[in-house]
Amino acid sequence: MAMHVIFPGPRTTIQDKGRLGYQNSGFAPSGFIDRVASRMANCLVNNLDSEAVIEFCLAGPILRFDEEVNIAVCGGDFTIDVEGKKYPANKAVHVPAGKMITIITGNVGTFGSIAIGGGLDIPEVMGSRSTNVRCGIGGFHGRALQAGDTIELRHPGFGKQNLSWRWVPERHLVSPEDKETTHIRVLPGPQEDMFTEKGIETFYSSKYTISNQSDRMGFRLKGPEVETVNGPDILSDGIVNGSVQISGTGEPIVMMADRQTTGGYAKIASIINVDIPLFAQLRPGQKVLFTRCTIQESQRLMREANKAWKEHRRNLRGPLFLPREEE
Amino acid sequence: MEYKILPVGDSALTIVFGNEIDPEISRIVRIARKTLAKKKIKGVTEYVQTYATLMVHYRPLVIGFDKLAEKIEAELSVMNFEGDRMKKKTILIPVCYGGEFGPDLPTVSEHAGISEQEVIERHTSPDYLIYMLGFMPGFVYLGGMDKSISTPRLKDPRERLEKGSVGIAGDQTGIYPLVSPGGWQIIGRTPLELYDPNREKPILYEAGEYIRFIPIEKEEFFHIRRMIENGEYEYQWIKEG
Repeated sequence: MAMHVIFPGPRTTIQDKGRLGYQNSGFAPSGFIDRVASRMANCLVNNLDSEAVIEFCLAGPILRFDEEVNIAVCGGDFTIDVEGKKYPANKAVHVPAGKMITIITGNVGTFGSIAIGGGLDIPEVMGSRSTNVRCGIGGFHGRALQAGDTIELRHPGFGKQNLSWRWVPERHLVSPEDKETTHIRVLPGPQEDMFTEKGIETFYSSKYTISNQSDRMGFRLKGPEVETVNGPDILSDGIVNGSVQISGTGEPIVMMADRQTTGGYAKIASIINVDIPLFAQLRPGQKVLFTRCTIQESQRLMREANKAWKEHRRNLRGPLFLPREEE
Repeated sequence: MEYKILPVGDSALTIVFGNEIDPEISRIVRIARKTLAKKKIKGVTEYVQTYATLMVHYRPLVIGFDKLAEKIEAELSVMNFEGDRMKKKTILIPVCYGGEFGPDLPTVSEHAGISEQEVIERHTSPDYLIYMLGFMPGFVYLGGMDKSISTPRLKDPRERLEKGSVGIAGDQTGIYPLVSPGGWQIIGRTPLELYDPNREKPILYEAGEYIRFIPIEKEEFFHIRRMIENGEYEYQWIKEG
């Protein structure tokens, strides 16, 4: 019993919680680019938060399953078309066997996460199912999905239980309120001292536009040059998810899931954890305005978000059973 | 021991021990990494060593920044950084120099004004300290190359360097563990699998260890390749101290 890829979409990969613990050897962790959308989609179809999803970028895939399944798509206002019947994102959809599923992209969101009830039968490589295209490992044969790919379901029969009553209340969704400019909170440093006062002022008062040169590795931003004291080159040090480095052109690059683990450009700030999903879903042409936050505040926001999420998950799951695997 | 602890976003922090490429600072970073890792601090997920800093990734839902920084400070204040507490570990990496495996060996030889054989001798004589890994899995930042064989990068980077390519870029030397585009002057190739996701240690070496290049002939290159493919090759280490 399998899933068939009829049309893959340009950059569709399998991603899970990420390949953790190998950064000291130079491995990017990969993993969900939008953690919130992915766990939401997983939750809707009764998977663990960490289960691998199919992640697409702007253009979604066309899929067909040999047996009935529950699927859910989160990350933007995508539409799920099951041979003419249309369903919204952020809702479990029960798909009959053999039906063609087309994901249609709407006005908001870049990376869609498609969760499949019971998960796909993808082997773990170094503790993760995430695709690392550069190394050719993880996911489906270490590459983006292609037309004609067939992936077995890990738990066939999961789709017998119809979950289509499940949906996500709006307040749990992360999407920009203003499509023009999104406020993104950052923590300054660790190399803020590499920038002039004027440069720092420029960074926090200018609107930066997401450029077309944005992908899972990083988002390049267009906007006023951030002035450095003596150039942006540093002795290479560690990079985190959401690190904002200033390149040789003076423009910011935000490092994302497939980033390098270390780098030699000064980092003026890092996007706080709870704002990364929001940032990841911005499209080329949309603008951001960076605002300062403190570490204590950002970690408090994380704890709050986690508490709200746990409560939501409890309410949504009701009496259903989880697949018996470690969380 | 002088250092400072800075947050890097809300899920990592960096311990800055210095700001230069220096074997002594590298040694300190390594001792800190090894010793802290042994403490198994709850909430810490991984340590990443770079030239002069140690990045600590952690889960803020388990431990907050203030508490973790305090813990690390307490550990560092009693840490023994004296002497050579760590054994010197050197991995031997066979390299077939020149010919099709090292198309830029003539360029390096010409640039240095010495024979190709002399380039190979100078390239294989030091034990190179692995300062850090980054850029791609298993890519090493090495220290200790003989500056007389320094050569600028290619003006036109190649679209494809084979895995195992050994090259020179400015004062640096290194190996490409994966197929990659690159502008390094390629002087040879190793038959070793520096990276294997299915091995217990996907990457053979780590920061703080050393690499020694051993010149081999083409026949030996293919012989080692066959041994690796049959799972018979044993990686060779020298442990001192």
